[in-house]
Amino acid sequence: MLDSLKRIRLLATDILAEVVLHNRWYQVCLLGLVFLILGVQSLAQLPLGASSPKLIYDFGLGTILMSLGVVLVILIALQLYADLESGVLCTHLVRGLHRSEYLAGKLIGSWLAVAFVGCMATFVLSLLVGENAGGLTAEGIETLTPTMGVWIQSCLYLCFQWLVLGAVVVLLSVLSRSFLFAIVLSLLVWCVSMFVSAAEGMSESAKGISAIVSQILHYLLPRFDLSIFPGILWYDGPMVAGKFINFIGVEMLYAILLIVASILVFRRREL
Amino acid sequence: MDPVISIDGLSKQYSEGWGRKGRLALNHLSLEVKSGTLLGVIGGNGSGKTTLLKILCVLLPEYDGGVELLGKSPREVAQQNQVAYIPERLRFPAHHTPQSFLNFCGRLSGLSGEHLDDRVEDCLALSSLTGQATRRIGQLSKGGVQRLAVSQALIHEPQVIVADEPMDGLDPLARQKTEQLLRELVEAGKTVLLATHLLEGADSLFDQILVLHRGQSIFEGPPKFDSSLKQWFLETLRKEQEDA
Repeated sequence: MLDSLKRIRLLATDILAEVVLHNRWYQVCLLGLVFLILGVQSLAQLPLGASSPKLIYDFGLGTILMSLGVVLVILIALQLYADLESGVLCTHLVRGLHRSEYLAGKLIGSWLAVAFVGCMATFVLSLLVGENAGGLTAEGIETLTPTMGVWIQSCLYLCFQWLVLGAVVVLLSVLSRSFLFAIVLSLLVWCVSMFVSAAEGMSESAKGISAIVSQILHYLLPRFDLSIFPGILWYDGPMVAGKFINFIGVEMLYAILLIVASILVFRRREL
Repeated sequence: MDPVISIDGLSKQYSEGWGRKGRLALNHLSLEVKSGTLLGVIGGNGSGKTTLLKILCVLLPEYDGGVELLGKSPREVAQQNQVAYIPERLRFPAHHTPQSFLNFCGRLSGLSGEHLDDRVEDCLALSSLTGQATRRIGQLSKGGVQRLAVSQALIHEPQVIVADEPMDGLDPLARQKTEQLLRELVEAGKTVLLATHLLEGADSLFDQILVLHRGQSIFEGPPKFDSSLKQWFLETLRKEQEDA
């Protein structure tokens, strides 16, 4: 068990180093993200008065979350495909590395790479918005940022969302031999799930076939609901503990089910 | 002496998906290889060489028939770090140097501390890469990359080494160096399986050969070709190239 964890950690840190320090495609994505964050700043020109900083923050975080979700999907799909094509995976599998360890290492490594950038981008955005909200004074920051407890809840929420999204990509990547198929289908699942989650109220009032379809999607697809994130942060306040634990529990269950399914499929896959 | 590799009635049929049966890549193959043998698996495209090698390395988990390595199943042997694989075209991660990649492979194999450092140094020396240990892998010559492919397989000191056309595309000097490296391993008691589609030089390089054609064994034994087998093999290769 300890050896297994060591190998997963080794793979994850190798991916993190490779992606953050050497992956050109990833670096281009980061550059794009910086421009997007700077672009969000232009919202400050709108005559929104006191709510301007929060609006910029809201837009900025939304941009970061959506962009990083796409980056995570592409990153995992490309990594798995590249390892299979290059033959590196085959050499590792005969030196005692289990297929499940490999998948876990890849998922965690890519997840860490995205989380790292998410933290950096949020930090930069906070600095920019804080500056807009009247300088980096204690009062300026206080009007913008909620309590530490709310931040922790939001971060945990995001961590699990990305873990589930990563697990979706892993499953689709091991099921198909085309990375493009895995990327497109993962993004589709992500978008449809977000739509279904956001339109939960509408599905309850739907009738006939549309009601059946929306109910099936509602139970089958993981709950990707990015609109909860700003809700926790500013508008509705933190979720009550019971509801939040239930929410995280469901996400964790989805992640576990998807990872187990990926391992079962990958064990039988011919390389 | 017990054979290191024992194959009995091995067959492998690929699936075309959705339960449909595909190509029969290996058809009732039987083989025994003793310790300290350099076995040449010779055949044209689609003869089943790579399939055989991949089954030994647990990369193809489903097959019919019996396969034993060192008296155990291929899966057990892989988990005990006693087998190594050199794929046909191995593209290394661009961010590694030979030293860091060997270090990474060693740690994945469960090595650590001074033993790992010693193994990395030994493997670099064995593959004549000591002077280029800290250069990016992308800056190595094709021969250098191929020697690194061999040394990554040796880092955990496996008993059986399975190599899929490791000399393909190399110039004569690089080829000679790789051959010499493989022979040294055999002299050190390792068992090496080497797939190739080249017949020339086979009699001097290998201790034993297995000639495959469409998944079936055509010849198995010491590398002494009679002219009719040689003629048949060359004719088969020529036909395959024309078909391609």
